[in-house]
Amino acid sequence: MSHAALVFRFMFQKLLRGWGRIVVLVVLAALAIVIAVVLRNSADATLPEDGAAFLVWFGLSIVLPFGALLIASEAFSDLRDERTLVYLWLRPMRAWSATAGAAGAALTVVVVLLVVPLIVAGLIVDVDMAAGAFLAAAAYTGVFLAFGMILSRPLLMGLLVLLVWENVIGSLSAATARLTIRSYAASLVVEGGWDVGTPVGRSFAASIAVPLAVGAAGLLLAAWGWRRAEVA
Amino acid sequence: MSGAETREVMIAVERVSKRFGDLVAVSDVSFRLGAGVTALLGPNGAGKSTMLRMLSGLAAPSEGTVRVLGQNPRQDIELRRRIGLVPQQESLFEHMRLREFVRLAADLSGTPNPDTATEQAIGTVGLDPGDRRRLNTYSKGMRQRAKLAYAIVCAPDLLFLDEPLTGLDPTQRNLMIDLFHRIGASGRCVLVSSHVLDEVQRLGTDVLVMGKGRLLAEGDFRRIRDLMDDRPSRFRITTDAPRALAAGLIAEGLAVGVEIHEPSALTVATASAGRFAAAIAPLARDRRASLRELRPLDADLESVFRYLVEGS
Repeated sequence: MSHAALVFRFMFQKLLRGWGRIVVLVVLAALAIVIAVVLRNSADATLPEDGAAFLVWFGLSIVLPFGALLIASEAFSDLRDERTLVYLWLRPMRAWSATAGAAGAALTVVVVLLVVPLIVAGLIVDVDMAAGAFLAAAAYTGVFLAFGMILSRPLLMGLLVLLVWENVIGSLSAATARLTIRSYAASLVVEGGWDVGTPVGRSFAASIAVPLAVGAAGLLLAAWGWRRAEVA
Repeated sequence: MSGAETREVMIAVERVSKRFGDLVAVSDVSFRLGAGVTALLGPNGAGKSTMLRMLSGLAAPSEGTVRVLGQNPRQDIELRRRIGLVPQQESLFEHMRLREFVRLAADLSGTPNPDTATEQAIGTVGLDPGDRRRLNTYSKGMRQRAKLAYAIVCAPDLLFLDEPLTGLDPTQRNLMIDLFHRIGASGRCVLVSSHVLDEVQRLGTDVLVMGKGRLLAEGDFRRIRDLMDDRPSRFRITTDAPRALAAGLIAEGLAVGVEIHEPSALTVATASAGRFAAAIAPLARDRRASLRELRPLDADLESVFRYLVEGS
């Protein structure tokens, strides 16, 4: 088994042990499905536009980024806080193997716990969430994995990024929205002239490429952090 | 080099310092080590753990160079296969079972026959490979041994142990010390940090003494003691004529201080331990004093340690 696969297995098991986090995420994901069902059965709702607006707001702006933050940032920061990173770091393993394995594990947990329920919620309200949710998950997971590796308070910093960058800056104008992951993911969800309350309209290619590039940049940053880490 | 001068150098530390902001954890330390067991001795905060972290590559020196088996442990990833570290902290991967934990190290290190190696490592430290309990249920002593199993499963050429005997009962300590000696005798370098003098004395005579981030002494602690010329050596003599012997020692210039413990003992402070040792028997014969016991009072490690650390 490769180093990346070993780290993946280790990290996956470890992440699933964080019961508190898992319960919060499951509840949020379940809430998305419940609200989707309510929308489906509401006489006032215009589907799929209202469903898309809800899923972009609740799914792509709240559940997915905050869930990815909870999971991915804790992957390495837990080990640093518990002072167990030494057991992995001191083995003959390339930085990219460690970070790729950890990223894979975090992404898998995020996909299973959040992306899949959002896709299900999308199906209920006739909205295709698959590509947007998955790419947003990949981008956020990469970024927050890096936060967990290089920052001393990754959760706090992640919250600031999500609140200030993704929400405030992203809502200022169509131009500043280009700087947010959410707008690219939402562009894959929204069709035609739907008004979902957030600037969209990114090209298909950009909507695919930018989240992937952001996720990859996060991985590179995490690998850099691994290499230069002073491990206690 | 600590220990035999002829041993191959496995660790070379040259003028290494490590700073954390304004705090100087290690200051201008140089030493070389070869195979065998060496104790890294010093009080808490002396810089021992930081030194072990730099030797393992876990931390980079602020200044100076660290070479382990000729390589930079901070940069050479393959070198990590040849290094085992038992860190000071108790924490483990709490969700794992012992066998999974040790097997992870074997797998990540590319150890041949990882199953067998895992069983052997766990057995070597006196734990049960079939234990189904998770590590979060382990006692402090069991955690120490689990960490040791993790460190030795890949049969490293260098084993660094940071306070490894903490939390072990006397029987376990003896087993571990025997194990360290066995590993050291097999041509590997074992560096054991401790602030407990009794432990260090049982680990052998080769020591590195650190205090306040500096290397205060290295080598055989008995030789270190001999080099402390500016401090008198003390001996306790049991004899049937302590006053006569005390008078003779002062008259011959062999003692710089004498304390008589009636009725049959005296403590002598001498500036020249070698001259004292050669002259005491003839002097006792001349003074018709019967020597029953001659015991050095400060040739032990504790004396050396206190002298070095208090003077640093």
